[in-house]
Amino acid sequence: MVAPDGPKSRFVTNAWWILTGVAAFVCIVVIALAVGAMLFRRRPKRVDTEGGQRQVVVFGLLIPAVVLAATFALSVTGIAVNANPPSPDRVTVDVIGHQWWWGVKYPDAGVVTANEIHVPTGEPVRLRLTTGDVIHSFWVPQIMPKMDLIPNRPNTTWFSVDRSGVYRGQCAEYCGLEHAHMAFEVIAQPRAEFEKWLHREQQTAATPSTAEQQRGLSVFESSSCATCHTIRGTTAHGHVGPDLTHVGSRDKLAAGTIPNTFGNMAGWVANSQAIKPGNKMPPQSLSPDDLRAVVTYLQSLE
Amino acid sequence: MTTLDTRTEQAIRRPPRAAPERPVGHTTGWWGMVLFICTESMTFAAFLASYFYLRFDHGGPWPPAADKPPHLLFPSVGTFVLVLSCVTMALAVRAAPKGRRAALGLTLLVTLLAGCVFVAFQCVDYTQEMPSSTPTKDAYGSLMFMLTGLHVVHVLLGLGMLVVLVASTLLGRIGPKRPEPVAIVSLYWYFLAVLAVCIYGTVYLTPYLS
Amino acid sequence: MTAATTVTGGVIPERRVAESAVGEILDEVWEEEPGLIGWITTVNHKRIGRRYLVTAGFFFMLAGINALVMRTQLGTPNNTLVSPELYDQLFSLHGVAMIFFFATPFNAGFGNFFLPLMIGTRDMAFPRMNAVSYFLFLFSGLFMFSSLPFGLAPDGGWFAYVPLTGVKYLPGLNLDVYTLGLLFLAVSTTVGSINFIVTALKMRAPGMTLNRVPIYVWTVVTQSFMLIFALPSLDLANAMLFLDRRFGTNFFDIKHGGDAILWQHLFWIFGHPDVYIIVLPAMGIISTVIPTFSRRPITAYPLVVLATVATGIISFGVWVHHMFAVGLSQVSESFFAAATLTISIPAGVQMFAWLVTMWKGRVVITTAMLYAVSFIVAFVIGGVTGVMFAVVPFDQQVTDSYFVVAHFHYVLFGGAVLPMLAGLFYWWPKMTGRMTSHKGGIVSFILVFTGFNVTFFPMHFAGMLGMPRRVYTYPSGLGWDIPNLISTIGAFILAAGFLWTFFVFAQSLLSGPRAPDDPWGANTLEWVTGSPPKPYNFPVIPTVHSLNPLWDGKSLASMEEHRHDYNRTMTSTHLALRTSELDTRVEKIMPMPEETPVPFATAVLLTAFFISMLVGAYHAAEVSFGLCLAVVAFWLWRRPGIDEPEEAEEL
Ligand code: HEA
Ligand code: HEA
Ligand code: HEC
Ligand code: CUA
Ligand SMILES: [Cu+2]
Repeated sequence: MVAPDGPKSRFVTNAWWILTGVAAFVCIVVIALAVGAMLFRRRPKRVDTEGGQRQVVVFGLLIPAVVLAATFALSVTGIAVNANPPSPDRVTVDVIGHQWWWGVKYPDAGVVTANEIHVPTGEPVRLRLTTGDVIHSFWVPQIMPKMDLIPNRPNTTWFSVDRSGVYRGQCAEYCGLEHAHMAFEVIAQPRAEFEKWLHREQQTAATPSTAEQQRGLSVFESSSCATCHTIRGTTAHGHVGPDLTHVGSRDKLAAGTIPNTFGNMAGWVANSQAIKPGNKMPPQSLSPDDLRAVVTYLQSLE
Repeated sequence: MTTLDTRTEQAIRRPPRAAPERPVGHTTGWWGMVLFICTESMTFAAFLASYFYLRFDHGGPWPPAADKPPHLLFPSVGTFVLVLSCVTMALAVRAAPKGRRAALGLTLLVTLLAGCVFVAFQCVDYTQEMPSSTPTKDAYGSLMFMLTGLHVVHVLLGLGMLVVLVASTLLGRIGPKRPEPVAIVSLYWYFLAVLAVCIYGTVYLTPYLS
Repeated sequence: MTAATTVTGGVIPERRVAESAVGEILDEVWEEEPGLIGWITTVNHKRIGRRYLVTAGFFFMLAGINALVMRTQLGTPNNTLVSPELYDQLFSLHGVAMIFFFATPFNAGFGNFFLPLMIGTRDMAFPRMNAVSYFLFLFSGLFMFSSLPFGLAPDGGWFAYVPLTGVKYLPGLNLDVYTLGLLFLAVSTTVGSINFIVTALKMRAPGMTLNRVPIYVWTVVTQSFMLIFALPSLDLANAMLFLDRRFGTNFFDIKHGGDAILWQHLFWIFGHPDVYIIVLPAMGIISTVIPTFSRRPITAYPLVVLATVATGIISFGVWVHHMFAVGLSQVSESFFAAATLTISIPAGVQMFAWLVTMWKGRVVITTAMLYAVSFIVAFVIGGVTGVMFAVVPFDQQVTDSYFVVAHFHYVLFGGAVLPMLAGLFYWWPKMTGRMTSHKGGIVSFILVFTGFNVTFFPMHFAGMLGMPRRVYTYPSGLGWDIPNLISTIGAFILAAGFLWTFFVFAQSLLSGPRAPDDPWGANTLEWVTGSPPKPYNFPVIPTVHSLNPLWDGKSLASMEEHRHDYNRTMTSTHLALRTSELDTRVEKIMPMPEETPVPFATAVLLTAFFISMLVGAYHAAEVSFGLCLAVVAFWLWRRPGIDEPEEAEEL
């Protein structure tokens, strides 16, 4: 069991301990009876062909009924506990599923990013889940159980993180070829740091400060990139791929597939299909210089 | 200890007369048909449930604003005729064991005709519903056309059975000695009539109740 | 009543007497066409049952090989043995094939062979329909599997959720293979289920009143009823999906008033009952094997029967537990959690009935018994993880993770494959007339049972550590590497186990000692017949005096007593006895059909229809469907009642 770091997964972990205890007990009893019969009933003094109904009723019906009733109580408690956050939430995050990456929006702050969800530590966060194409499922094992992203049926839920840190999440509903590479990160930070981050994300993209970066921007705006990606503060307004306004600040690229380094990004832009076969970004035929320029520029977008 | 014995004449050739003259109880064929009807009912039950599921899931007006409410004339008459044909079907079931071959043939034929009327009227209705609703325009149209369409296909199947029955009657292959097939087909025919009413109510009447 | 001493030395004396009276003439009447023609035209339930087993076993091997490739790919992180396209097809086909083309039909194979034998009759109620079922199963399975070499195998998972499986996101023929293949198979399964029910209702030997029906028969009948009521939902869903994909209807198209969750409801209304459809007959095998090798009748027979039927009924009310992460209302989540818990009670009753049977009897260890007991071990583990899912937040944590994969392999492999192996070892002498090697069987058991646990137990840990299912690869460093590696090793142990098992059976066929009629000293009627049974099964239909006809002394004697009674020997043509549903009064001597090629023709034409639909040749589809109807009409026309001496009501 992963170490829980949020109230929801803590409930799950506690439930898991109780359930596993009971389950192990049931298994041990049944297995012991089965194996015991094989060992000790091969040469019995007498074979009893009648009766046995009472044992079946007691062990197979009455005792399980009590155990199951208790399990039901646990289940209902869990449903109730997880329904509402302990205190009112102050942050709302919209997550939009795409084949095979996560769009992330902070509607109150007007921030758009991808594959990374920053939240203030210890506060309930309201999560609104929708999808742009097929069904996906939002799951951060250490923080919260799953909730599906379903077309036409926005789901709203909440989570909160106890300790600052980076938590890996992954899409859990099979959504096509690259379902395996549809991860994301939840980054819990103290309130102040979170606000600083949010403020920075609100800014439009940094203006290029070197000639190389300048060239990168113009390549980006003039080649196909701009038809798919948005960089706020430039003329790039595509909506097919992730928003790249602050892509340089991200930890991973392509939904958790590769660490965000200069080399990785260059490899990705040149031929993303070699890294994540089947993803929706076609290989880009840029000259080596253009490629270097674009990546230099994108890396500068902190 | 038992002893072996040789085969006896008695056990070898005796005409199959030993069983009671008139079969008692339900035949395997009867059970086969009943179970077939069970599985068919589930298909339609699931389809009707899907109809209401999509309808209430959709919310808003039903039919959706882009569609007109269904026409009533032809489906109403067609359904009525199909339900009425259960009477002639029942008469056929009675006529079969009594050996009234003419009556049997006639009632079966009338039933067959009624079924044809139903199918024809349903097709006329389709031409009336289009182009306001089509199978591909929206879920409303898909439901309406496919639900009634599936039923029509089943009626055609029933008609096929009736054709076999009529032909058998004419050739004397069913009659007092062998009335069973008529009773079995009649089960299916009643089932089709019940379905027709359910589908008519759902597809044609409920859109007016909103 | 005590267990009779094992009848050794071959033939059961009572049957020998009966056979000496009428055996020769029955041999003549029931003689079968040899060769290919005989293969195509036979309607004999035993040959058809055997075929079902071989064909389903073959599909099991193919689907198992899919799994081996998958396991090899997942053995190490970031592996690139297979492409994502291929992996998606492999796991989808593996799931579809194991569930639909292996587990259900393998049960149907046993059912076909043994249900008529257990109830003391000469064939199924509709032998020709039986032949159709088989051919349709064979052809639909080939239809499904032959798509893989073309890269056209289903790739939407075995439950094929829309909208992913809509034409927009998966445009190839892959999903059309899925919808059409399953509709195709559904024809076979539906027909087969009706056949089982009617056979069990109308053809039980005189005296086999409801309280004397073997539990195995109860489970097959319950399973068949479940199929009849559950399959339509899947058929409807598949038909809708096919129409959406091909002809542009909008059942699942969100933009035009359709809905994605409708598919999930329709699928799981079928899907949940389906898992019990698979496990119930398997439990029936357990209820057959355990009493035999505990040397006493099963404990609490009425409770076990009730539990079987109750499982069948309750299973229709729990489907939403597969959708707990969809975000449904708290009320429906609680309701379905409760229903899910309820269904464990009948399972518990059956478990303890078997355990008490063993504890009150004398356990004889055979390979079949080892497999039967290993079922208890595996099923309790798989069962309790199922119960854990009823705690909704816990389910939301582990759903769609490897924890679920572990659960369902414990209940599917442990709950269905292990009993099937028990059944194979148990009934092998009856089916083939040869004994299997005892030592070979024990080695087979050790390999398979070890391999099974080594493969599937670590998946619990992978799931708890956050590994989602249906991923073609995974990064290292998340703690998933070791459980996956162990699973992969286990899968190969398992494969070795099956290979060994195959050799054990092959060796038995080639050089195994001849089997007597009743090698195990069992209690049910199939052991009265020869090993292997004659085409007519019973020279004289016995009168059944108890639940354990071979142990009560009287039932066997009735074969001898009635050997000059035409009503029980029915020697003139293919005939069988029809009895009343509840109290098995003799109603009629029923003519049974002779060999005929009509079933084969029907199945071939239906295959042509489905292939034409797949490739979009709609005119060809119309023609083949029309021809198929014509053949069926001809079939209805040529009924044994008219052109042959007496009628058999068949439709
Ligand atoms: C043969 C097949 C089979 C069987 C028998 C079962 C049996 C059960 N299953 Fe399982 N199940 C599957 C096949 C099966 N399942 C499959 C294939 C899936 C996944 C589908 C997919 O997603 O691809 C699945 C998924 C599945 C889910 C959804 C998980 C998810 O995706 O989120 C759930 C949730 O409730 C569930 C529950 C149960 C329960 C409660 C039982 C019970 O019937 C178990 C009852 C048995 C016991 C409990 C043991 C014996 C009892 C006793 C010894 C008495 C004492 C016991 C207690 C007091 C606990 N199953
Ligand atoms: C009855 C059902 C059944 C059975 C028996 C099995 C058996 C096995 N399954 Fe199965 N599995 C499913 C039903 C079943 N599975 C289902 C329904 C799914 C879900 C699919 C989905 O997500 O859509 C699934 C998914 C599934 C996955 C998850 C895939 C994923 O989510 O990415 C994995 C992964 O390891 C797996 C592995 C295995 C293995 C190793 C076996 C092994 O037990 C296989 C062992 C068998 C063999 C190795 C055959 C070997 C035979 C021989 C070598 C020769 C013998 C010769 C003769 C008889 C002629 N299965
Ligand atoms: C046809 C659409 C399309 C075009 C053109 C395109 N991209 Fe992309 N891009 C995408 C999609 C879709 C993704 C997300 C892929 C995934 O993770 O599955 C993506 C991802 C990226 C990422 C990773 C973002 C992240 O946060 O993980 C970078 C960087 C990127 N693209 C840069 C570029 C550049 C530079 C160009 C032009 C030279 C370009 N893209 C052209 C569609 C496109
Ligand atoms: Cu998105 Cu899986
Ligand atoms: Cu279920």
